[in-house]
Amino acid sequence: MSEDNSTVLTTENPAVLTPEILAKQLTRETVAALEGCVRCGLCAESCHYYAAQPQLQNMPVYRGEAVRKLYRKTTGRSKRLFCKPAKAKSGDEQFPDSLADMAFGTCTLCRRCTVNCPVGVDTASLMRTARSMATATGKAPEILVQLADSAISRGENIELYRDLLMEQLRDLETETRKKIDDPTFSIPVGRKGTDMLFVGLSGEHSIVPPAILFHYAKANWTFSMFEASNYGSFLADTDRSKKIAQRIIDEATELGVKEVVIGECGHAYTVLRWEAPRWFKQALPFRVRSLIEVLAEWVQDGRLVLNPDANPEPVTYHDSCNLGRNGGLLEEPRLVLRAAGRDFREMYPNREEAYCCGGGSGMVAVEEWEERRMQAGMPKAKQIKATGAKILVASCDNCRIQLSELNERYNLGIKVTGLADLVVNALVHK
Amino acid sequence: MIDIPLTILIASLSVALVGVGVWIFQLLSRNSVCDPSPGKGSDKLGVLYAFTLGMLPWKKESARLHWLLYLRGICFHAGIFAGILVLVLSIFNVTSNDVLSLVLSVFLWIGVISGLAAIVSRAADPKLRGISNADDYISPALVTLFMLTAALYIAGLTGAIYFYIPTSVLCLYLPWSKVRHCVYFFFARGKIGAMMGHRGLLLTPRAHSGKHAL
Repeated sequence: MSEDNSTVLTTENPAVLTPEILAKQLTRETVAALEGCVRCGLCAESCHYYAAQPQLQNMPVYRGEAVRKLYRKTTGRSKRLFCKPAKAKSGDEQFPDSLADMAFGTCTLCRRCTVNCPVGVDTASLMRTARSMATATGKAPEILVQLADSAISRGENIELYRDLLMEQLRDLETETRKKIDDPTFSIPVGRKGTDMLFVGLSGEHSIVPPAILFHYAKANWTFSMFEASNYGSFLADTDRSKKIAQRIIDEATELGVKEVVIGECGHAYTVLRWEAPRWFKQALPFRVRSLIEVLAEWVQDGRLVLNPDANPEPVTYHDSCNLGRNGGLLEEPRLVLRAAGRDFREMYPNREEAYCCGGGSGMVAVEEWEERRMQAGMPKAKQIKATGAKILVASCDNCRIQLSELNERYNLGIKVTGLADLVVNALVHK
Repeated sequence: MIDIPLTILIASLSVALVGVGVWIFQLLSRNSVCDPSPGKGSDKLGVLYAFTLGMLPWKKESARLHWLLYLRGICFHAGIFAGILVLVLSIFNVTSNDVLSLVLSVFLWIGVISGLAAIVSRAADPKLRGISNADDYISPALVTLFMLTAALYIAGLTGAIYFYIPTSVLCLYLPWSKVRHCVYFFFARGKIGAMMGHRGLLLTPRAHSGKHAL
């Protein structure tokens, strides 16, 4: 990995790590991860950065040690047996630029090292801790902060955006009616009492294919005013994350839907399905599912009838870390893919052992880190090439961006698409 | 008459136990992240899996790639448990029979070899050296010495004092060393197991079957 010092983030504010910031981080789980590592180094190959470039700096344990050094320095733990928990040793500490760069720019929080650690040390959670502290001390990538704040602002001023969104959706409706030759097609918005609130991403690619599938499955649904993305999660900033998630929770509650379905986005699913209840300390008042789960159910119960011959070319699937290893959606996409395509081929390793594509946790948003991403994506590119597939399905927008760029960089000769696109292509209209 | 080596050993063991107790207490006094999300699977099964099937070497790519290292770790820890058994038998003045002595000796010597190998390989590998601190050498050295003196003691080659004194040093050092991972291991591994169980990530045996692309 080339050292790109220009990407080390700085701030005008004094980047001071106060005892309060540190104390918020030191949960039982974090301390177990900080103290449990024996530095055996077995985690090395599990990291896609290390697999691409086997250097000391790319070992997960090396990153973990950077957090441990800060922890030891600020708390004095590991030296003294008896000390007040979570209190800084003496005054405030500067949060190191190098650690901010490491946490945001050399780890995608994919957790592959965690499942490979004999002890179970969650180095990804330590990197998340480092991200959180970096954000609190003003050292997070500016673009991620802007995107998160923009989403919050949209939630607070939705009336300013409503007309524009409605106009865009009406255009999409008109285009899609022509495309599928069905004048009854619609994208309902703000409809109360439906079964499902669908939360997509920005861009018609995440809206139209699911909408077509909902239409033919005769789903009782409505479209969300908000995007599923939660950049607060990339910042490991719980306050921002909660505000972004709250917009969708409020909308779903107001509309009285039974469930919220998240479009093809890895982190957005994990955030609302698994993380948000932890932030709010209670289960959400509706079910949260991924579009993948819904499609798997509809394919299984015959609500969607698919013709696999419509997709005759070899297809492979990239397990998004947030959907698979962190989200638990391993078999559902495969069930759909086998129904929608004639020649499904696995990458090896896959499922919870799948390699990260290198674009996760906000990496694709930071332009300066493109070269790092391309390097770190090399293991994934090799995996894809080994399958001989012509179509690569990725159910995560960040992954799709990264995989499309890997496709160009490494001449993979594939078409990168979403699961819903493939299903639409295989759909037998009833 | 006071058995001085035994007294020192008991005092050192007490320090180690108190130290471990303090670490456990301090850990438990911290907030834990509760997970109110409706689970896709069972947390309890996840914890059970983490400490049973999930520990099997073929379940982890890291162990499959470094099976010798993994085996060395298993042998090292088996030697430690054998050493602890020898210590307990010695403290309570229980004489082991020939078969048990032989079995314990085998485990202890394998443990000693594994410990020495771990120290040498850490010192020899630039990457491992790069992530190591002094404790990464001191702790395995003391534990290896503990197993070595236990092996010599059970073979009748040395007296108890030569077993108790290094063991006492280890016990006194333990609360400040990485040996205390014996406490955090259960929390860290249990937590990951619970998370994986909760999110329905158990038992996916086909993840690694087939040809690895790298």
